[in-house]
Formats: sequence, C-alpha cells, structure tokens
Amino acid sequence: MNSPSSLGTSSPGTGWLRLGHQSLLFSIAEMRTVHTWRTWLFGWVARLLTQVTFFALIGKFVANDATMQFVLVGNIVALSCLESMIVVLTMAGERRLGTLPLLAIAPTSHVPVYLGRGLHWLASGIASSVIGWLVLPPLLGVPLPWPEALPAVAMILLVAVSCYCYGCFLAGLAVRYRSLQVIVLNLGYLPIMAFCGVNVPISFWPAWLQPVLHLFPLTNGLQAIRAVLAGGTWSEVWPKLALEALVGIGWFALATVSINRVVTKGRADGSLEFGS
Amino acid sequence: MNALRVIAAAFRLQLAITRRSPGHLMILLTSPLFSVIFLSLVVSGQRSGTLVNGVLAPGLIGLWLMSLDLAASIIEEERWAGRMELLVASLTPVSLVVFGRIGVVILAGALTFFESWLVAVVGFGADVPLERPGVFVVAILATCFAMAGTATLLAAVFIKSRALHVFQNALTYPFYILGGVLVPVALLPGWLEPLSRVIFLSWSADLLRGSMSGNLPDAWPAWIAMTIGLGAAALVAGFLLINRIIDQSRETAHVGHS
Repeated sequence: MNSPSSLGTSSPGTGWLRLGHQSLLFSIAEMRTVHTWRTWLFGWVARLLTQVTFFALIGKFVANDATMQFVLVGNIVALSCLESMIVVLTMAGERRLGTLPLLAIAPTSHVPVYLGRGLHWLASGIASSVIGWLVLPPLLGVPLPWPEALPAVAMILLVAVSCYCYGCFLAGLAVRYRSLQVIVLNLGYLPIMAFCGVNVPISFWPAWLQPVLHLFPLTNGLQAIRAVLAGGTWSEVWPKLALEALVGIGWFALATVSINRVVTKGRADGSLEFGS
Repeated sequence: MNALRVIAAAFRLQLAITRRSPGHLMILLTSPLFSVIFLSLVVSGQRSGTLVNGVLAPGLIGLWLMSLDLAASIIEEERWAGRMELLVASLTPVSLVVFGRIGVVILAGALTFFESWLVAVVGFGADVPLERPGVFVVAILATCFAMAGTATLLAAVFIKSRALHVFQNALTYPFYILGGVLVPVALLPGWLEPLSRVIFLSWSADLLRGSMSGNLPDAWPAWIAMTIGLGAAALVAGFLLINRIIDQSRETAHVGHS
C-alpha cells in the first residue's frame, strides 16, 4: 500500500493511476468479503439470469419469438447497467464509514477514491451480462446470430462503463442523503429499464420523450448492439457507440463535480462528518 | 381474543414505525415503473386478453417485495434496537407480534394494485376490465392473507439465516416465474407445474386475472381454498418455527445476537 505522501507527491496522472490501482485491489478485496466464486455464480448470477428469463418469457407470452429475443437482448445488456449502478450503495456506504473527512485532509483527492468504490460491481455486471449473452439465448430457444454477436460483447463493456458513470452521479446524491440510497438506486435504474429500449423500442414512447432518452446511458449503446445483431454496417453503428461514450463522459463530469461539491460544501458549513 | 389483541397492538406498532420510516413504502414509488414496463410490453405485444396480466403483475410483485422486505428486517431491527430481549422475556408470543406487524405492510402493499390500475388507465389510456368485482375482492383478501402467512414463515426462516440477503434476493424472480405472476403457469414447461402449484401465487394470480377478465372456471372457489390453505399452512409453520426458535434462545441465553 502506498503511503498518502507518496501519492501526494506524484504527478497528478501518476497519482490517479496509483489510486486506480489501489481502488482495484480494494474492490477485489471487498468482493471477496461479499461472495465466493460459488455464491457469486450460483447465487447472484443465477438469480440475475432468472430475472432476464422472466422478462423474456413475457416477451414470448405477449407476442412471439422475435419479441422474446428483443426483450432478452435488452435485459441481458441491462444486467451490466444494474450491477454497475450498485456504486450508488457502495459510495453511500463509504460515507457512512466516515472516511470522507480523512480523505478531505489527505494530500490526494477524494474524488477518484470515491468514484472507484464500485469497480467490483462494474466488473461483476460485465461478467453477468457476458454469461447471459452466451447462455440464455440458446437455452431459451432464440439463439443469437454469430459471429455478429461477438463484437456486441465489447459494446456491453462500453454500456456498463457509461452506466457506471451515471451511477456515480446518482451516488453523489446518495452520499448527501444517505437514508435515500436505495430509493436513489431504484429510481435511477428502473426508468432506464422502462423507457430506454430494453423491453420495447424507444419509438414506442411519445415523440417528445424520445430525444430525452438519448441522454441516458444504455439507450444508444443498446441500439448499437441491436444494429450489429441485425447485420448493420459499421457506419450505422459507430455514431451510436460514440454517443454512448459521450453520454458516459457527461455523466462522469457531473459525478466529479457532484462528489467534489460534497466536500467543498462540507468544509464550508461543517457538515462533512455528520451532514446527511 | 387475547391473540387478537396482541395482533392489533402489533399492527398499531408497525403503523407507527412505518409512518416514521417511509423506506418500507419504497415499493409504492417503484411499483408504477414496474407497471410501465409490463404494460408497455403487453400493449406493444398486442396479444388479446393480456392487459389484466400487465395490470396485476406489479401489484403481486409489490405485495411480495414488501412482505419479503419486512420479513427480512423485522427480527434484525428488533435485535439492532435492543428490543429482542424484552420481546422474548414477555409473555406475548413473538409469532403473533410478527404476524400483526406484517399485516400493515401487506395492506400498504395492496395499494400497488391501485397504482397499477391508475398507470394503465391514465398512462396508457387502457380500458381495464373488472367482470367479477365480488370474486376480485375475495381474491385480493385471500391473497393478502396468504402473503401474510408466507411472510411470517419467511421471517422465521430468516431468523436462522446467516446469508439473509442472499436468500432475500433469491426469493424474487424465480418466484415470479413459478408463481405465474404475469405469464400463466399453464404456459410454463409441464415439469415446473407441480413446483408452481405449491406456491400460493400461482393460484391467486390465476384467480385475480380470471375475476378481472371474467374468464373464470366453475371451480374458482377451489382456487380460493387453495390460496387460503397454502397461506394458512405457511402461517402455522411460521408460528411453530418462531416459537421453537424463541424457546431455544431462552434455553441457550442467545437472544440479542445469536
């Protein structure tokens, strides 16, 4: 473990890299306290796959195999979003531990430390989605077209990162109002599930709402994934991916400002330790 | 009579707690979003007669989630607040207290049915049928009773669990599938049906849907009996288990943090 002073005297880039490395080690350690590989795979992931199956069965019930596949793809990708957004709970938990005042006086910034607190859930989300991608379509009788489905795996990664950034922004709220952390998570995630093209195309929703939905993570990335599966050309796909990345960067910037403001305001009004 | 007084007191206690900790009512905020998800699928799918499935599913899920949440937290909160020792030391059966407290949450959870109806009518402009209102009311009451019984049993199981949240998490979507919450059990693979039929939701979901659409078989009273019967069996098992656990705790002096 590097001492704070060694982090503080490094160049900003190196400092952030070291912090990233430490956050990664911390995340792995934290994940090990929550799950063994068996409980993760047979408890956590199996439950998530059941969730996807539930929605896919509805797709088949209300329409046909094509709808089932549409819903299945949307929900598999949404798993990475759901898990990435658990950063809302881990960041709020970090505030509860009382580390924020210590980080505020440390030579390094508290921002990367806080924003790295959910990396293990980001990794778990990507892994769950990829497992779902490989296992569920053939199991439910609606196999994906291969090799078109292969590049989509990389796109899931982008969607997950973008959702993580959105989750970090919401976590900024949960850090302020800790009693609302679960509500913030659910009210952040469920609208994405409902409106962002997971279960029905966004064209289903009123015209005035559709442009707004493109400002949320997952919407553009999922459209790119669906385009790839439909055999779309690269020129069709990359603008959607670029937009997904841009949306993620935007939410990350907001998250950075938000979490920074918690400390600035806390220093100003003395609410850093106990303010909520 | 004494038992009823205990249940009523526990009911009032939970009412006061719920007023001060609205986190228990979170499902009332999230349930409309579940309604949007299910109704968008049903409306875009255009299979006739499935609207009632989309309207009822969020209500059933809301009830289930609220029961699960309270069942998981009720004993934990008593321990955390240091009230468990007092509860165990008193002459009042803990199982009755648990049942009475769960009752409040069940009633609040039943509001999710109304929310879902509202989303369907206002949000989607749907014309939601209610062909057999009398049967519907009886079915809702039977469902609430069965839910309270099941939640009491779960609360007992959760006391002993060291992996509470893993269990709590696992008892959601698998049960929605097996309980036929939206997709009727009859459409699941045949080998799942025996398993589904021991879950009261599979009976009550069919019953509620039938009462709304008017598509009820002549044997619908038997479905009500099955819903109530399974709920009662869970309630009795929950009472026995809680009493046994409390007795063990008294004997071994492991109450607060056993």
